[in-house]
Amino acid sequence: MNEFDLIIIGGGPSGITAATEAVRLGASVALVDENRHVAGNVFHHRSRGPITGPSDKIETRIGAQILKDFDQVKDRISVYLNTEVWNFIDKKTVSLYAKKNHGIEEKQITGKKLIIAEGAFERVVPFPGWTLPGVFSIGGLNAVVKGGVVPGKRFLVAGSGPLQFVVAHHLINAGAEIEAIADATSLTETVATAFRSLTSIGAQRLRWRFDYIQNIRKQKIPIYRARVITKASGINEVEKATIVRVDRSWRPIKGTEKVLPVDAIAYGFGLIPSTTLTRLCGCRHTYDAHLGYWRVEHNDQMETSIAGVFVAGDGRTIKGYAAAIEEGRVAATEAAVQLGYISRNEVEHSLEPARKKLKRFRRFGRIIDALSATRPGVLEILSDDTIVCRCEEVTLGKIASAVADGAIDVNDVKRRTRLGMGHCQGRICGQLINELIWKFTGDNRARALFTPRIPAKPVPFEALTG
Amino acid sequence: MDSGEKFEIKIDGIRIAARKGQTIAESLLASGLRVFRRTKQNAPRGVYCGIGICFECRMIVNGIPNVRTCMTPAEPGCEISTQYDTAMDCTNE
Amino acid sequence: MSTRTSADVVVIGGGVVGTAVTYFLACNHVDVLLVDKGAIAGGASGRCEGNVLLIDKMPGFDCHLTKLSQNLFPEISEELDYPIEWTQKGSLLVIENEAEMEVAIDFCQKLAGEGLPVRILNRHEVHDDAPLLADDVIGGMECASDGLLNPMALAQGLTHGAKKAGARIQSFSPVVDIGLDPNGRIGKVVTETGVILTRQVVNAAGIWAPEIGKQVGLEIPITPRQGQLLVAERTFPVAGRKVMEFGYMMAKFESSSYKRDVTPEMEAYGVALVFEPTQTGNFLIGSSRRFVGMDTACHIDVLRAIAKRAIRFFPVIKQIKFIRSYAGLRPYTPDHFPIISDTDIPGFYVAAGHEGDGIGLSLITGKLIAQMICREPLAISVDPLKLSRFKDKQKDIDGFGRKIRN
Repeated sequence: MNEFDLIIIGGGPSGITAATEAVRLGASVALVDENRHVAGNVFHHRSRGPITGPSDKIETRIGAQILKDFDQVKDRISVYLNTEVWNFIDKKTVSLYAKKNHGIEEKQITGKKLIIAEGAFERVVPFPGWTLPGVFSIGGLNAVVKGGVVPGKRFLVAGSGPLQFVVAHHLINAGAEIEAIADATSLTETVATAFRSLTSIGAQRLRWRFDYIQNIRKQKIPIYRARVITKASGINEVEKATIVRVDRSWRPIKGTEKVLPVDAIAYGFGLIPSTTLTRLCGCRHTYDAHLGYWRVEHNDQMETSIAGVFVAGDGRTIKGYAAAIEEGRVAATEAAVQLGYISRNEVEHSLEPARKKLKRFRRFGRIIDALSATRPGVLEILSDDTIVCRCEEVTLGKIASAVADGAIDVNDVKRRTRLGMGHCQGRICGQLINELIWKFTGDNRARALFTPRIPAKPVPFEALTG
Repeated sequence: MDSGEKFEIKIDGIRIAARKGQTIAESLLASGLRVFRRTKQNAPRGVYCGIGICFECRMIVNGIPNVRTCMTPAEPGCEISTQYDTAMDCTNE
Repeated sequence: MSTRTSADVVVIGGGVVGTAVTYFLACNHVDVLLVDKGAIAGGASGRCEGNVLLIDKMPGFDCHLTKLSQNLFPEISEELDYPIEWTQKGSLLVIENEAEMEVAIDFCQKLAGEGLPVRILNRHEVHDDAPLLADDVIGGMECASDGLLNPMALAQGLTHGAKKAGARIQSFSPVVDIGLDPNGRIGKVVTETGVILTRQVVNAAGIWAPEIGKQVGLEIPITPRQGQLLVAERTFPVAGRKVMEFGYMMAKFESSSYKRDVTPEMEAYGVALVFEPTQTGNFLIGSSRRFVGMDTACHIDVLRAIAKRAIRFFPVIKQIKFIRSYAGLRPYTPDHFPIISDTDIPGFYVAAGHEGDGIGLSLITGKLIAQMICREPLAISVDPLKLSRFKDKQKDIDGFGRKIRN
């Protein structure tokens, strides 16, 4: 069967919740994920990693609950794992590709409704030496450490947002030695944020966050505030890193550099929504100054500018798994209403708690965005020979000369420098390229995203042979 | 901790230990190997994003180049080689 | 934000043709200003292959014109202070069966007669040349002088060089009107950003050339013909140079009775193998030919047909990943020849309609237009390329190209 009431792309917390909800309401559902497991990056590895912190426990409990609910209805869901969605034939027909043990699976499936729950990836800021092995994004290191592997001896954890304390916590539990934590945000701002988030996430969850920090304090790990990395160096791998004090706009203050003897670095600035599929599908996006990135437009029922195409989870804005779960529920319920499996009156009441929760989470998400989002001063860390596009090894200097030559927007810079033309399809360099171009043009009108192209993720030519 | 079944995989001809459930990237990192690839400009690269976004951890796996090792499970007997992008040019001889 | 300026010549269109015209004019010390509605190489020149090929040209004028252009590339790639990724490693047409081989031998002899470095490769030689070719390919034809380059870099390089020689460039300035003076001569070019007083205009707007032509009351018969391409990941070499299939050429030009053994989709979409390695270690796979108006979206069924055809010749491609696809619009003319021409409007020139040969013919086009404007002897007679050829033909040829009998 290749036709479904509902196709859900992404098997993270929001995707599996949406699938569970939709099936319970009577819809036929296909769920697709490129991983070999459902549950996404948050809950994956839970069964293998050590559970120590209080937040670990709650994540495990929530994860276990939604997975249990999902398992109960799984038989009634067509689950495609290890499968890439690489093309939209029309708005609700997608091309799938999977490498199986015996050959490939290549097919198209059609849904009357579609939920895109493609999740998030890390906001990255290049710095000299960031391509050296041993430099990880925070999420990248977190995934590895949760898998029980410690890929270094002395770690530096740096960047912004709560994730750096989470990864530090996991590193400590795995027995790793952390040389220092360097947070771009000043202590005053961090404390102010903590108080502001009290109203949105409640005292208990805020306490868990302090637990993380306490665990770090217990190890006597220095936490440097208002610091960013300016350089990593080493011949084939990281051998040392330099951090520097920054002002409120994260502009480095000369003369405050400090060299740290580390062989592994985790660096990241919170999360941004993945918009690959929503853009390829043709949904409308707006630039969110607060988030410092694009997000897909949608209404309260999570429906995008395309009727019948919904979004859920961190693929729209970043609020974490708890909000993602509620969004998955709302999107699936609305899809079921539109499909006629349940009346609108019936759901209005039942969705009320989810909507209330979401409002609160949204406030919290805003606060985290504000804390994590990069500030203009941090771009001054890049030098002319700093690589911006890792795939095609395009340096800041090359971007500068393209702009000097007349390039005015991201697609023009792409044509001239090959930036964004590599394997990652611009996912990494596409984030900050507008800001880097403005640095040289002084003209911030031409904000753009790379033109979306088929395929959404690289797939073998044989995906086209079916 | 991880009680997955143990087996061997080969990296550039050398045997290393791996566990069931691990990705190739995890197995290599656990063995202390961090340089996975050399770029066209001969720069070393390894795992960066860990979730299949950045494509930096690409290696040659069982003869197939450009395999994201962070997304590919380690399997008994699998043969992995460091990928040299410098060799990926047919217009210069 | 309206500006007022003047220039001896205004070139409309910043693709490879427009930038080449601008470059040669500037090198001849002509005061030239290039305008484009968008970015340099933002149209077909940014969505194409990098062909500088003789192997697919017809003996006679087609060959002569292309050869003149090809000869300019090695020199220009040195001259331009910009890496255009020029390589000259020849091209290869692969031959599927004896019927094709028979025609190829004859075709090869004709091209050799034109002085081209072409030869037939037997089964052994062709597999030696491209070891990853499908086993059943029986031979090939090579042209040793053919070359490849990065078309976007060519346009940038020519722009760069033109600027150095004194040309001015105005991108993101769509032309809204061309004003004639009372004598019917060109007077000014009006763009969204200002007015340019000029006596001479070169219309190098590619598929948009008809629109520009209308502004002075000229009909220019150019139609967009879409081509889709797939870009493969950087990987180990599949073949070292340009590879295409002979059968498609044969079906198109040589013998219309010849039918390739392809699916109805491949036939309908004009799909033929095009393999093009790039200096970056990637390769491009094409091609298709469809009239779909100004649509630059990739159609999945076309991509499928292209991929299948490529895998038929290079089975190894199956496992290689493609990372991008795009569609470009070729400026097609009814007789497949470009328009490189003066017109009935004094001071108005056309340099457009190169269909799939824009890259290869860019330099000779630039040179010829510069020669016309500077009133120098032309490198080759452009009579077959005059815009008026379509007008003359209209008198006795109907819409299907059939001669009208009185």
